[in-house]
Amino acid sequence: MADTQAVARPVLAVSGVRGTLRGRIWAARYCYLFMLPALVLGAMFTAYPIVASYYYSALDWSGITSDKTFVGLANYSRAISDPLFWASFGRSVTFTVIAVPTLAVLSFVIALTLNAKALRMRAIFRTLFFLPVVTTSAIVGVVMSLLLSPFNGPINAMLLETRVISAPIDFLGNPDTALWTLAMVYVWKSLGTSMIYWLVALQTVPGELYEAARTDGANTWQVHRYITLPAILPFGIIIVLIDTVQSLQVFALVQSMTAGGPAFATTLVEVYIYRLAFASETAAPQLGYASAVGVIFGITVAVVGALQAWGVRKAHRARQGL
Amino acid sequence: MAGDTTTVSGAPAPARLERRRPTLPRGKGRTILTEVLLSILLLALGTAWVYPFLWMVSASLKENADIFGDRLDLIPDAPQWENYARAWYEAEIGQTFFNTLFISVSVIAIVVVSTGMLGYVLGRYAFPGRKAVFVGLVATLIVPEGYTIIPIFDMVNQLGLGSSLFGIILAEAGAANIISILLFAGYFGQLPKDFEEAARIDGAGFFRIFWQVMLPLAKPVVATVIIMTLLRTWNSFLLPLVLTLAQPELRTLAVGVYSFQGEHFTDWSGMAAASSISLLPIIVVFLFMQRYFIEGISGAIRG
Amino acid sequence: MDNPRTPRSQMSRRSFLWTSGALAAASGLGLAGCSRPETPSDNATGALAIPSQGASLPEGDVTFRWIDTGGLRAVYWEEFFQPRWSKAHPNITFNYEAQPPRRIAEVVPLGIRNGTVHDVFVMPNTITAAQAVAEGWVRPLDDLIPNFDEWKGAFPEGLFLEGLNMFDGKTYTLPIESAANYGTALYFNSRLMEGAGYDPTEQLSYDDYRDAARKITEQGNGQAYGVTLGAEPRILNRQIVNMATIAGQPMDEEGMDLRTGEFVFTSDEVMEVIELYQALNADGSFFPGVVSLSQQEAYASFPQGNAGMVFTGQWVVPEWQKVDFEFGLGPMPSPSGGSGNPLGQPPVGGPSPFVYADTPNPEVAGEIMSYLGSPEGVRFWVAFTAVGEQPTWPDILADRDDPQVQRAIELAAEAGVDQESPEVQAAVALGETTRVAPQPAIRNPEIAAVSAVLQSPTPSFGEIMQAMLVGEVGDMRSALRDLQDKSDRALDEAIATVQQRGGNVSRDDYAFPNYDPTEDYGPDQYAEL
Repeated sequence: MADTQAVARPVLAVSGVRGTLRGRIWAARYCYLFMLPALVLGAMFTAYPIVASYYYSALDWSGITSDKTFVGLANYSRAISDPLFWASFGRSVTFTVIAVPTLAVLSFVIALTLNAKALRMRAIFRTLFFLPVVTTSAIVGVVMSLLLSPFNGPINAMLLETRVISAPIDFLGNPDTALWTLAMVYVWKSLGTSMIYWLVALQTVPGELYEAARTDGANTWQVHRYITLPAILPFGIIIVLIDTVQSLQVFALVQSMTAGGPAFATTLVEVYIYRLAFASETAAPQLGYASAVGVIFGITVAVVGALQAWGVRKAHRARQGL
Repeated sequence: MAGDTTTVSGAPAPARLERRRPTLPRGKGRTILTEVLLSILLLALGTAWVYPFLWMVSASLKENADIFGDRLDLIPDAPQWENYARAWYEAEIGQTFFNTLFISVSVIAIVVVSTGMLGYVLGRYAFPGRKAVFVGLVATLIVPEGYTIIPIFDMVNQLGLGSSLFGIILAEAGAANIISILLFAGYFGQLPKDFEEAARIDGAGFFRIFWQVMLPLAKPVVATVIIMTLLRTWNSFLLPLVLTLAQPELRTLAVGVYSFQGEHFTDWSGMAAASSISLLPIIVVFLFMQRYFIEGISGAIRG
Repeated sequence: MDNPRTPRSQMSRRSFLWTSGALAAASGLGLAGCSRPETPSDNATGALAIPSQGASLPEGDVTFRWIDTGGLRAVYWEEFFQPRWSKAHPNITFNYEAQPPRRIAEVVPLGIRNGTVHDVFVMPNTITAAQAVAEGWVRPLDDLIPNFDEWKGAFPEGLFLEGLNMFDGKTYTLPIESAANYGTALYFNSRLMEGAGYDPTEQLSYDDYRDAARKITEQGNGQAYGVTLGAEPRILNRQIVNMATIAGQPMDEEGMDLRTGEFVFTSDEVMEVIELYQALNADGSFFPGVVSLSQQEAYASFPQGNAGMVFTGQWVVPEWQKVDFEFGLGPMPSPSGGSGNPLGQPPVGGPSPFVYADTPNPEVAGEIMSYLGSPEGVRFWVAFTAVGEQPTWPDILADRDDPQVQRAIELAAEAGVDQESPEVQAAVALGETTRVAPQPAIRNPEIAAVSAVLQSPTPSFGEIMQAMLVGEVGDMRSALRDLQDKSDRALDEAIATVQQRGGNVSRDDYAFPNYDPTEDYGPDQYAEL
């Protein structure tokens, strides 16, 4: 989890601050009023479902019939000793470790390029990079399997022609390459979203900073290194957080491209959860257990994220202290 | 005042804000050459990048048998415009379009205003409980979804909205807006303090400052939130489907697009045609909105 | 028909079999205006209108909703039933919707939750009919169908069975579809097969099958390969199980030999099939990237001539007939060619329609179900939907001199289902070679409770097969031994759970010593137990 406190450090104190908590709360009454609509909606349709899934995770329940048995932590102890869960957990982490840095860096570079006012046709370029985001997942599944096919697939043809490889690669059918391939397709599909976030972030850099730097004779690299990067760093943390969370929760794309195969090589946690709750070929649906798996996954990610944020913050403080 | 614009460390002393927004200085021939080369590079990359999208459009004009026939050839032998007629009727685009539009516009309005307000407060004010709200928001971001459909469904039914567009709107508007909130909070948090101070001197109240000063300043975020929310609600499938079981006349476009998927065969060309039609509005909105991504705060202040 | 959206009726929808799921409800409404020229004989053949069954139907305007898994059923509902129904009952809008099985599994339970599910729905594959009855999701047909006893008595014997479509003596659905189809027949590209010099309409031996695949691959010179698969675990599972059955080791889809009630994953017959697949793989006879090909992609691209053979079911026939492509079909190979055992199937197949317990229009449900189960109803249903499936009423289309049969076949052919074509006839003939296998849930309906809690092992047989094809399983024999142990343990655990809850079930319910895989297993055989 990112250091959200640092990201959005409030710039204003509420006017009329008084010492007591009640006083401060009263002074901030407009703040609470402002938060109300989003919080109420979020409580109903985001928080409540999550709380409900915690409740489900303590049930032996198919999710379909009415017979629910409260089993306490039984689903959790089962999940902890479920090798398939941990294997899918590992794959989700690997997937994220491959996808997120690639996505973040690539989308940042493209956003930076497309942010330059000087570049003509940037509107078109931005649209081009955004189009994969809107392309229907089910169709992406087919076209990608054609593109990546070892049978007359153009990507293989290109690699063969340039003698990078000597035999076609079954990108999606080989357990060693499937996860990587999927991660790259994911980067392709979500780059447009990430690019927009970066473009937004770049708008927070006051243009005056650039001008000042130019006056001081800084070159493009120095401008980005000393002005752009530090200015958008707080935003960058949010973006990487969003990218990370979304890549940990990728589902529709996997389902339409590999459905978790071959031989479980792309069974990420969300795919495994879906399989438990709905789609298993052989086993009866088990929403309770699927919920427990989801909760453990979420909590583990949150804890790791929090530790990371804590580390970042500590390092940050240490640096400031110098 | 101008000195503490942001909390960013290491940045050189910022210049005064009233100054004109500068563009990156451009040299003479060399820069133009660079730009041309860059444009060519981007165009090549961009074309490869949108190949699957082009493939979809091309598939929408092919016969189903040819989709796996010419495989990667983008130009159909004889454009099958009747795919579009079929898509129009099978996916009931005429009927579902307005449902989808109504849902999307309502959801966008609710999301932009509500998350903007929350993001504004979180990004700019210190008040008791702020930290808790933040932690709560990020926590909800982390927990995986996927099977939350049952509680959401139950909640909508509890509200008595089980079979109306309003149920879908509320559920969509309340689900997973954390990203919007974080973007707003991040953006507002970066804005210099001057804005409110100046407005307050003019006698504007809390609400007016937000509505007339701050929200317009956040155009890039508003544009982003509009597009991401549009994308989500426009393509939302399962929730609209299960909430309109009894009233198929309330169905949305995505339900129509997925109706081309069968058990053993999928009508790829029909699906591609329906997708192409239904995605057109999003692309138009994006083209229209994208200029706000480069209209930053500096530009906004000038006016 | 008072639907404003009549323009769609101008469209010929016949050619759109692809869109099995395309009939999002309400979609067919406009069809009412669709005036296909009616032949004078339509009245006499019953093809003009849906004859009244005598239920007391509502007078006011009502909408009746029906959902199933589409495919050829969608063709029947849209092309045949809907226009005729709305002519007979203009005030009752028949609203048909098709969704693929996994969507049904999501939608129906939620619809039950808030009472908005369709008036008639097919059972999701995530719940057994027995559970749904116990949950109160559905209501029996006994008091819905006019002259119920007479109606039911007209069905051939052995189709209504406790634990299958009857629960506690009440009848919940009608056996309108037969399971007697050959879902893994060997379909081949005639041109490529000719080059290889084999005729798979006669059962090939494993060696010939392998050789044919190798020859096609060689002659294809990189542009055609011997065999393609929809290498999804479920499909692989069915292929291996069926080939082992043909080879003389009867297996149900769970991998059990129902003669003994034992899992037989490690039997010699299974190992032999696996070795055949391994040999095909080693020969390079599989289409490149076959493992990452979904069954939909495999079936849709087969007419392109990139692969010579594929195991699949009769549903491909109407689709492939639409393209310029010559194909044939035959039985799966047996170890030494010819004389393989028949495949075993349940007595009744298909996702069966059930009436929602709280439907506001039970009379309409009764009227439609009654028609569907009448001889005339079955005749048209079978003509449209039963490509190669042996209909539950075996001879229902046999009398081709009967004007009603003629009309049914004619109308179905117009809608793209050509019962007279050689491919469909071949599929029908193959379907007829299958035999009814015993069902533990029929013998002891309480077995449904075991199925509801059974957690079969992961990776499943199909998943192990898929892993083998990509080289992830070194020692198949030990992997299968492991699977066999786990399957035993899982089943025993599920049985123990049900016993603890007071269920009267045991492992013996799975053993049918009098089961002869070459004969239909019917009520007489159950009675012998």
